[in-house]
Amino acid sequence: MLIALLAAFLLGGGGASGAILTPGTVKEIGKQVEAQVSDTARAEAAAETLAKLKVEVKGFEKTFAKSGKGLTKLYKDHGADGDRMQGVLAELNASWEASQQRAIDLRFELKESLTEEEWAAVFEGE
Amino acid sequence: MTRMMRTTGAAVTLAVAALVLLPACALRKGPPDPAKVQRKMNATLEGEKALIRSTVSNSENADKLIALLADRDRLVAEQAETVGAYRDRMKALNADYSANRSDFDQAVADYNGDRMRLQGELVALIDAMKKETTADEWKAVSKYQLKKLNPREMAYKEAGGGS
Repeated sequence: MLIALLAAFLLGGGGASGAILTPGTVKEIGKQVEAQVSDTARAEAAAETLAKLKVEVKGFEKTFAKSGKGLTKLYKDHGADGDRMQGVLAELNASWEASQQRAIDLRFELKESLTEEEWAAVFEGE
Repeated sequence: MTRMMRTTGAAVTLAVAALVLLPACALRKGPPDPAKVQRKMNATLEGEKALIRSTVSNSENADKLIALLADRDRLVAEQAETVGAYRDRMKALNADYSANRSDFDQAVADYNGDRMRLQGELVALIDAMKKETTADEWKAVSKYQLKKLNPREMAYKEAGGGS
């Protein structure tokens, strides 16, 4: 439980990869963009951005899974102290930070392909 | 906008808000019964205490370990609140077409500060729990914790799941 919780601190979530954003959700964004953006060139540019986002998400899923195994092992190990756990967390944290920044970069890249009206249409509803 | 489009839009909003890492609670497929979840968690937590009492031979250590569980539960609640606040902030930023990069960076920095502090407390708590047990006792306790305690359910109430 605490292992998942620690991961949640890093990721703000706790799904399969610890994050909500999955290849499936990226695909869903793509469908919505496709429906809202009629301009072919901008739609293609948005699709390229989302393809990069999908790669990013998949890459971090792998990193997360690997770290989760390491943390679980340390949690079970009575002789493993917190420093060792912090070491694994530090690595995961660095990956998370990088992935986070990359995702935000791509959010702004996606924005360049959509007008304000299209953006509102895609993300309206919450 | 049609109902279908609104639904899709909501899903997409969640997905893109997850660019900045929303809590997974928000993606529950259906709203679970909060009372049922709470009952299940209460039973699991009581089971954990019973296991500690039956496993940790030194009663003083068992008492200390059980007391640490309360600290853990406090951290779980605080974590859920922190993540929820971050989720809301990022959701609003993402929906704002004119939001600046610095707005996102500040939100991430604020969240990082909170979560790193809580992470440090959790790691220290794990250390403290181990110290109240022998290797064999910890093996039994940690096995139960890893198998039975679900963070999504523990954080459910505080994160507003199902609302």
